[in-house]
Amino acid sequence: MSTRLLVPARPRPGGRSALSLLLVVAFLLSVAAVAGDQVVGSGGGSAVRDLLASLLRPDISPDFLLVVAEATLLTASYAVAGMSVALLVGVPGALLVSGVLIRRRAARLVSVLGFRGLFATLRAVHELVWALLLLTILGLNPLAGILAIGIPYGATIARVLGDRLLDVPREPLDALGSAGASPVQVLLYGRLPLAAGSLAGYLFYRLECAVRAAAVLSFIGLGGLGLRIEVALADLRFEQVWTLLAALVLLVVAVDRVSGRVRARYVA
Amino acid sequence: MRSPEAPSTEHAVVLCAATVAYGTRTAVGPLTLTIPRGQRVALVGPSGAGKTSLLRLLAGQLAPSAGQVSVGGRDLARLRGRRELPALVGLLPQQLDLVPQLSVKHNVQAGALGRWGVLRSLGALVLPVEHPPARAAVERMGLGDRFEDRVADLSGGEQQRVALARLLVQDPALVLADEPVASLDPARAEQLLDLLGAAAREDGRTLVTSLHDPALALRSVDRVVGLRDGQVVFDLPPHRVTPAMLAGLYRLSEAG
Amino acid sequence: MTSDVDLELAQARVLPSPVRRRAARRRGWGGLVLALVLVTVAAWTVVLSQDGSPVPGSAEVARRTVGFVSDLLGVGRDATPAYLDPARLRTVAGLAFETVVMSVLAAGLAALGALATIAFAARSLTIGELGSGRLPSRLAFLLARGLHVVTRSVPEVVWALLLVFTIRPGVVAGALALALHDLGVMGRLGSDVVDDLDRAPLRSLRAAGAGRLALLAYGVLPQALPQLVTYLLYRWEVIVRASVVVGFITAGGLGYQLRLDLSFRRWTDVALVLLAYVLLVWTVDAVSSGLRRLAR
Repeated sequence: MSTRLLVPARPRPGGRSALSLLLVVAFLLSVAAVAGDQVVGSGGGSAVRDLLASLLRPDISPDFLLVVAEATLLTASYAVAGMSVALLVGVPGALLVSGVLIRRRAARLVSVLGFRGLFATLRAVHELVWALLLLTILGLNPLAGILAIGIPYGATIARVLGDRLLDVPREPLDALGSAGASPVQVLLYGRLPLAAGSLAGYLFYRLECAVRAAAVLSFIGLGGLGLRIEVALADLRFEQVWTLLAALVLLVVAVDRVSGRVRARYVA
Repeated sequence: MRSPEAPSTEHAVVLCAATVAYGTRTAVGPLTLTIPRGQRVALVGPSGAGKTSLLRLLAGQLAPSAGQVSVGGRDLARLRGRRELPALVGLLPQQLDLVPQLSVKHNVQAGALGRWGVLRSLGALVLPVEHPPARAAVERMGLGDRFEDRVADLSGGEQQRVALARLLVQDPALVLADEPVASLDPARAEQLLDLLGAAAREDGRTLVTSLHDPALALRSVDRVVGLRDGQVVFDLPPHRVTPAMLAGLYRLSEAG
Repeated sequence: MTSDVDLELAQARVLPSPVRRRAARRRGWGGLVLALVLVTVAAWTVVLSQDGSPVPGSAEVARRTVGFVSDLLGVGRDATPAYLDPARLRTVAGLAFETVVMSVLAAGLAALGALATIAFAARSLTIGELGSGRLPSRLAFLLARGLHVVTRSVPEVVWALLLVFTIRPGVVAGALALALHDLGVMGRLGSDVVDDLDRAPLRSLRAAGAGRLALLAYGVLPQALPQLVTYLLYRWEVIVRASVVVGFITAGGLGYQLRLDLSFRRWTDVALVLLAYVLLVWTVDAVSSGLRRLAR
């Protein structure tokens, strides 16, 4: 048996080779653009040594673990609260951006185009930039943090959910329609269950992203793991930094696990 | 048995020079046909004979390009998109028409959506309540113990029976079925046709079904209509349909 | 699959394997709904118990919004707003270019890191049917997976906070922070792609006596590369969006300028940077989806 025969003999489109070349060239150009920059900071060596040495002795004193637990709980709470706002924005948004409940063609087109543009704009701005903008208007309080996550995530969920609701098999929907179901009933008995499998996983993935976003709300001065990390770094308490990072990693892994459980049990 | 040509005071379906045309090509007709209430009719003929177009015409999914179709004495053209239509005409769903992620219960209850408001349909979906007609229909199909199971976990034959149960819950006077047994093995096909025939006979429904396999058609209906190129070639009770007629129906169309 | 929505969903690893689909049993939804409600209520309670300036009333919010927007637009100021000043426009264009350099560098570094590690993080090639399943393979699998989980779990901004301790602030530091997080995401996506590959050609290669490297070069890479390139382009869009906040910390690009303008309350400059940012995100989205179409 010759191995040559086993390689899939797919024709390689010219576009793909050109693209690969383009990407490599772009990367090399970006390297060239920063080639002259001095990279290692002054006093970098000793800081790296301290940072790595402390990895072997993370702070696991009971007092500090309590602080870590509190910060972890706060970060998780910001993430969940932000996601609840995101769903409040995203679910109605999905109905508007997909137009599945609107019978009249012209009204549907207006809704789809208008909300598509609106959500694209809301989504383009990073959640921490949202946090900065909301800070100016709402002041430094938890609501600013929650909305900073809720608004851009809601816009993303609206679009993903909206596209999924449209991208379901035609036949069950037609059958429901011929049994006399209205658009709302077709949504409930057809589109939603047909799209549910992929969406449950997606929403948990968004929750995982929200955890990371919530962890850095210290960006605008709100509490949580990010603030603790920032404080520990400022005090050069590297052994605390590692404990806090471990808590963040565990939190993300936990969300991943719960997601897997829930999907296996309820949607699959 | 009543002869199909005999006039009846109670016609469930009346087609009057009805025509279906796609562009310049005529798929059905002009066709004039009456079907008395409670009669079970099989449409046979090779693929492309116009069976599906005729069924879609009767289901109100296609408007006739010429002529008139009335069901239960009402002009279908005036009923399109109206909520009375599902009580009058029901199309037997196929396997693909079910929502695999939902339970048997919810798929069958969907037959009642035409009569339910939004709140009731939402409640029936999320609350642990049962719609008695749905339970009865599923029991009748012999699937009582699968009531809460997901449709995706059922076999093809079982799914086809779930589809029939949904139609029973929809409770239309005229039942239409397009190749209801195309994806089933012979034993399950006979079982389903018997169930379909029984459902029509016991509840006094009119049944029009297309069947690719004429042997099955002859078994369970009162009347067989042979179609070719959108025209009626023969229209007889099953015992008067001869093998030669069937052979001719299929051979002729292959030549043309 | 090349639409943005498909890519979003793919990141969530949403395609359940057939085995899992069969094994799943349906339970009542009551428990799940109750749990979700309780968790949400608890989360809001915790968050709202935090100190903070009082939430202003809606009239106050409206007043401040109007004030903020007119500040951004430079209403009632004598000076020319920054977004109409050619010199400022040139500066911001330069910073936008710097942001693009940072993002391309980050995407490239992350891709190199991912390429070097996904073979070890793929179940099928290490502990699965095509791997040896021996101790070194298992160890490599755990290390690579661990690397991906850790780098992915830590957000770009925290990587930036750590990096500025050792690396001189600037474009390179920002790119490294972005690349570290992205390495984790690309690593996970990439190892999923490899695990989902058509196994038949790989098995035959193995049977024909191909070594590990030959398996990668002739079997895995040709099959997986198109999908990986698609992911890379999509992640580039995400990186550009995040580069602004990373630049806040590591300096470089539009982000640092935004930080300066905000702290000096140069509102029309803030407006200009935000405008440049949104335009840049949209341009990169358009270029990326154009390139993805080219690759199809």
